[in-house]
Amino acid sequence: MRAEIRSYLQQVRTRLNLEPMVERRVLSELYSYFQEKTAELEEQGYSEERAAQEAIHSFGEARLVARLSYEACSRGTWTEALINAQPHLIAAALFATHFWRRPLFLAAAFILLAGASALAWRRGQPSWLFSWTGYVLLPLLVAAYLARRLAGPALVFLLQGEGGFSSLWVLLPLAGLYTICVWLLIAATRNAVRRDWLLASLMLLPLPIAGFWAVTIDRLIPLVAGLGTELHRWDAAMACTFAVMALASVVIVRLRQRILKTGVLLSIAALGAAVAARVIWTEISLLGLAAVTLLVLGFSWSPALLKALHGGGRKEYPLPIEELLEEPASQKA
Amino acid sequence: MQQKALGYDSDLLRGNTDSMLLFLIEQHGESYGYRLIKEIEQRSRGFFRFKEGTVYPALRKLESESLIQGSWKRLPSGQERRYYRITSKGRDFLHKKIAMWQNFNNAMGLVFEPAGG
Repeated sequence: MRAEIRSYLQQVRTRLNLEPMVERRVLSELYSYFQEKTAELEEQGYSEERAAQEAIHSFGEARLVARLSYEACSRGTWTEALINAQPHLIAAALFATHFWRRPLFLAAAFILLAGASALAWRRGQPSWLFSWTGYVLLPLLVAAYLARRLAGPALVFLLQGEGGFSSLWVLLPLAGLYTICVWLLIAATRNAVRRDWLLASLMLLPLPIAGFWAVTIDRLIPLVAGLGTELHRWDAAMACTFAVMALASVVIVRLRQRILKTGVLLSIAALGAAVAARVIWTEISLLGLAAVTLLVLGFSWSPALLKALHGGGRKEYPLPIEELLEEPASQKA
Repeated sequence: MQQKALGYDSDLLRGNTDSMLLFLIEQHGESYGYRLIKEIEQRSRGFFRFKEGTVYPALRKLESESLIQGSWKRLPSGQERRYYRITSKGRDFLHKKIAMWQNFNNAMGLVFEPAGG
């Protein structure tokens, strides 16, 4: 393959943001065009180099071709949209039924989410994987946040010398837990950003909303240990928020234009944050509400920044373009 | 499909690209991207000029809407090509579009007739 054509296909590839199987098919078809076009031009007397340049010129800008290809291929089926919405609906159901306090149901939900994520990971990382992964991370992060209480006696011993030396042992598993959580969060985000920052944003979407709730519940637990129903005060609002996220994820999967997908994602992040903050912290000021909303918007936008900062938007690929195109047709979507 | 040619409204071509591609695919039983590009150019005697890379996304969109169905074939040279066939849904869509286009064309012809002609 001539360097000009390889470079052109690489430019398209960088901007495609599609599933690996679909990406392979798109690039294979473009490569097929270049083979035919350059052969025809060379028959007309063009040199190899001129033929490649002319073919690229006739084909159009890589950015335009990538955008149109994305719009043609990025619209998921209704089945994919519904699979994408499932983890949000599971979370909504846990809150609507108040089952989030029952360890059996929580464990069942976690096993389902983790199992589906592992399966999707093995099957070529379809787009819906990332919304499921976000919910696999959620209980781990909440557990890590709640577990910080266990470090209290050890910190008191370290800072004030009160208590027993044995209290330090708890720091070991806690350090392990935090390391695993941070590593998982970074690895999952990096992996999603490599594929498409929009998917990474979708993955992270439920984390701040659930984070607000977890912080409030954590503060309330010592105060209302005997008042079980008090902890369900926000369940209806949380269920509604997750249901709206489910609806938004369906819309995002079904839309073709990337700009519209981004718009829906950011709107739902801002709206979800504002509603959750208003419902949970009823006395929050307007300024506080704006700050929380901006914080969540920044968090949702962070994968885009990460992609822009990390290598100027270049992606890392497991396969060089030549090897990708040489794979047999049976492996192309 | 986007083009830079003058002499016609680009929206007019964009709105009828699907019909042209479907028609040509139906004519041949099956066809592939490069052949369709050449044929549009030849049949229109060079009138329709566009960036050739825009045909492939248009084909993929038709395929995602189940109007055509694609399959890979390996040529004796080792090169692989994706061939497209029209589906029954695509055929119905095309016939409706052709009928609509003809009615529109007839109506425009009547409007453009000189008064009293």
